[in-house]
Amino acid sequence: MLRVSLFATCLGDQFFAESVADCVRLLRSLDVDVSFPAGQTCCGQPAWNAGYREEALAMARHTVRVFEGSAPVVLPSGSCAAMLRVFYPQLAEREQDGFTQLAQRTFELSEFLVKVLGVTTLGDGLRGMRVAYHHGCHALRELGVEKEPTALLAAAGAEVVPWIADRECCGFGGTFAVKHPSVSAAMADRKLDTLPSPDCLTSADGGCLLQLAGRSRLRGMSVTVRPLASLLWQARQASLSRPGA
Amino acid sequence: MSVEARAYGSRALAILRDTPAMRDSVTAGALTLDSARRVGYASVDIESWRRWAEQVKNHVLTHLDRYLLQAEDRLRANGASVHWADTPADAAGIVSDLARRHGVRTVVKGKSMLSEEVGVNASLEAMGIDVYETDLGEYIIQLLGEMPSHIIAPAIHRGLDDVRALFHERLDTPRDAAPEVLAAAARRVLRGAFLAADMGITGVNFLVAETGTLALVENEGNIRLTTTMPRVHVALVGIEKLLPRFDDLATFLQLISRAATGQAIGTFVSLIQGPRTAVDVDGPDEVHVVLVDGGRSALLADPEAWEALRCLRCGACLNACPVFRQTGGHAYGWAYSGPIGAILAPALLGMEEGGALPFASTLCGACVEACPVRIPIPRLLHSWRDRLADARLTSRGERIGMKGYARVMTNPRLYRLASLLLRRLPGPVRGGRVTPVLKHWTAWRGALEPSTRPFHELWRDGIT
Amino acid sequence: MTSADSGRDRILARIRVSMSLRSPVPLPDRLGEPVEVASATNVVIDRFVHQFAAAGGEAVVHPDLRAALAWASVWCSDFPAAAVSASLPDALRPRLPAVAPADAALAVSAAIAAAAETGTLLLDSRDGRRLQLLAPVHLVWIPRASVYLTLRSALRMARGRQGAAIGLHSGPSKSADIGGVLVHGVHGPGRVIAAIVPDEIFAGTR
Repeated sequence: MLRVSLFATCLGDQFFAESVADCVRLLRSLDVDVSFPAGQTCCGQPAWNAGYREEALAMARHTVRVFEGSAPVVLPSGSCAAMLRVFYPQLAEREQDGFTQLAQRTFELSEFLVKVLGVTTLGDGLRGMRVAYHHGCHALRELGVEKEPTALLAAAGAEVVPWIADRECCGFGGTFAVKHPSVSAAMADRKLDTLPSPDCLTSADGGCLLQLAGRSRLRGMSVTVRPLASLLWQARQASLSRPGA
Repeated sequence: MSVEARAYGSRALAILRDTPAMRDSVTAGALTLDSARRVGYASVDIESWRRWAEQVKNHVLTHLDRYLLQAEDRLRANGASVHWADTPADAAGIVSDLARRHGVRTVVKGKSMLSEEVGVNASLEAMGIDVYETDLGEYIIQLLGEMPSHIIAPAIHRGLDDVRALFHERLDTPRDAAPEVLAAAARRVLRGAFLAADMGITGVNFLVAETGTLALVENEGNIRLTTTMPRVHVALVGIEKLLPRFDDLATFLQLISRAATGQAIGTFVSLIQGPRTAVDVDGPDEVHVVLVDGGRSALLADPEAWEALRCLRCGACLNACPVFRQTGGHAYGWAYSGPIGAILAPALLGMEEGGALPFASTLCGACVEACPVRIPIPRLLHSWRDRLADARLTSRGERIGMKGYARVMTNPRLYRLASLLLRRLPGPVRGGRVTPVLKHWTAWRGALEPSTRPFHELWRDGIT
Repeated sequence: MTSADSGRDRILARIRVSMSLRSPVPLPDRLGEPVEVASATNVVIDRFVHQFAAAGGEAVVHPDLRAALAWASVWCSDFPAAAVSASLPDALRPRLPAVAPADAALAVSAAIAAAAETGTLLLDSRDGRRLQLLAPVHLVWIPRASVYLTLRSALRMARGRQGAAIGLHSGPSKSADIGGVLVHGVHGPGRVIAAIVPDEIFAGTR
């Protein structure tokens, strides 16, 4: 049985708890033994992005210590996965080995399912659902996670709707969202104004979803927003609960 | 040049709040250019071109003294005069002196970002000289008294109706004039200026060291006229504009055109060797090349940001940037906007003056694949942020906040306590009135709703 | 020492200090195919016609002098007068009164080379830069053998010429600066016609 360590991420822990639980359910249903290292907090990305290297390094050291070992680390967040994989090695000073070692066994959830577990289909629980997928910038451009999420959604029967702005930044950008909120909101509006009224808007990134959900609610739009992990669990669940499946 | 780069946030807010049509014009214009660039890149082996161009530029920048001297030599041999300007003010002074010496009364200009940087227009106008911007977009914003909003499309922030109203008032065109009619009206005025002008001022896209060739790319023909009609041509050249070999032009001319507008090549390219020769029937009697430093040689010493000196000023990163597309260039408060403006600002304006701009980005990385010379823009933005925070040029509140945040996140007990407080004290989260940071979130996205219970509690109780 | 010289020295000194901080990057070879020896195959001509048209220009290919002259006499008859470059072969000079470029509705000249890959005409300043720019319509004759596949090969022809400037014209003057709408003929010619003719017509002129 494959063992993984789950990194819920601070955003997942605090704002998408049920979705992180769905991530656990999904992994267990695929015979993965999930552990949740208790001391985990935040990867430190907001500090890193804002130029606070020392603070980011402290959080990175903490995270490296918490996830010591050899099990793959799975995150239901593209952005935080990019922090561990791409930016930790740039941040490391004398402890390069531990940081690089963690970077090499870090995976965003959909990427882990497709590339490590070799999953092509999870089930057909999304049949008939029209889904808009937002490519979080770090998942797309830093991790190169592009086809995995939409392939899994489509394999589960969802129609991934064409969306002209699906690869554009939503405007979240960590501290950018509060530093330049007017620009940040205008960027979210561009996403929402081009959204082709799907049944559900999803992404591998919680920060983006907070931004898009908040902005759409404030504007009185009725957009259902759900994290990718929850949709993938729904895809799986329907098949599991069917007798004989 | 007036610089208000510190005020990025308030300028951006004002543009979005007060002139929503401006955002629509910028978004539409930049997206059109960006998709044209993608098409232009797709039909050639663009990755080879970009890697090659990156290396040629890096070669030039690591042999810059040699190539500058070679170019100076060739230009002089071709009959051009060469001037060196250490600062933007020096460059403006050289141009003013030339104008005075030649008794210049009318100047025509081809669009040049370096001339914006130098502030040539203001110093010439102060001498009582009539200065005409002749690029149509630049002419529009000159009439409006504005700065360019984009490196290659200065009036990108203005829609057809803005231009109709402006030209109706200033050039007496009908209120509902078609774009062709508006362009014809501008052409009439500017044709008069071309015929009257004593001096033409341009930038350049490339200066070939081997042959002393000035290369200028455009679509309207105004640069060809600016370098043809007046008796004196002054070319402002950033010291980073050099190419080693004449043969390099063929690729660079196509690369910059594809990056800027997706065209195979700009409609007009001027390859200028110097003043008119005995075999020419027309052209300027004098060509003056002003090599401008303006902080570039110092930037060359920067261990990371020196890569920004490869920039061709094509504007591709602006078009690709979703932050730029909301406001256009005016929010950035100086000549260069968008991602390239944000990495050049702290270098050319100084960290205090230009330090706000590296934060005018979400680090989304869309600019990386657009850049024809592969400048690692997000990495450089990040590098500036590091240095700005180190130099304590970020806000005190932010510094304290980051320290507190790191303290909490490196201590799981504190983290869990904070997790409890987040739910026990709904005020700061839901109402957003207590902490100033959250106010900036909630005012634009409504209240933040944490999960009823954090995941670590769900885990403790068992996930079923 | 003048202040101008000291500016030069300061800049060069700073550059040398800066350069000493990093290792030199070698100059890569020229990119792309070697320069062509032969050109003007039908494929190259077709490519030129296509690219020139894509840029908004008009291109015509004439099989012989007679066809070219027959076409030109009809085509030029729409214009009252023309500005004509001095180097144009007599056979190709339109039978129209001559006017200065600034007053001409039509300009007629010849290109020293053309590049198919970009749809570009290379114009020599010796033929008159005003002539190439001021008239709203510009007819450009090109000997067939001067049409090269690549821009690099065509530019080789421009190298080392005696004139002060070479103009590369790829289609008519255009701008999208007014509300993003494409307009032709903003400052330079709004119509450019490239007429490709057999080489003999140009024999002895260049």
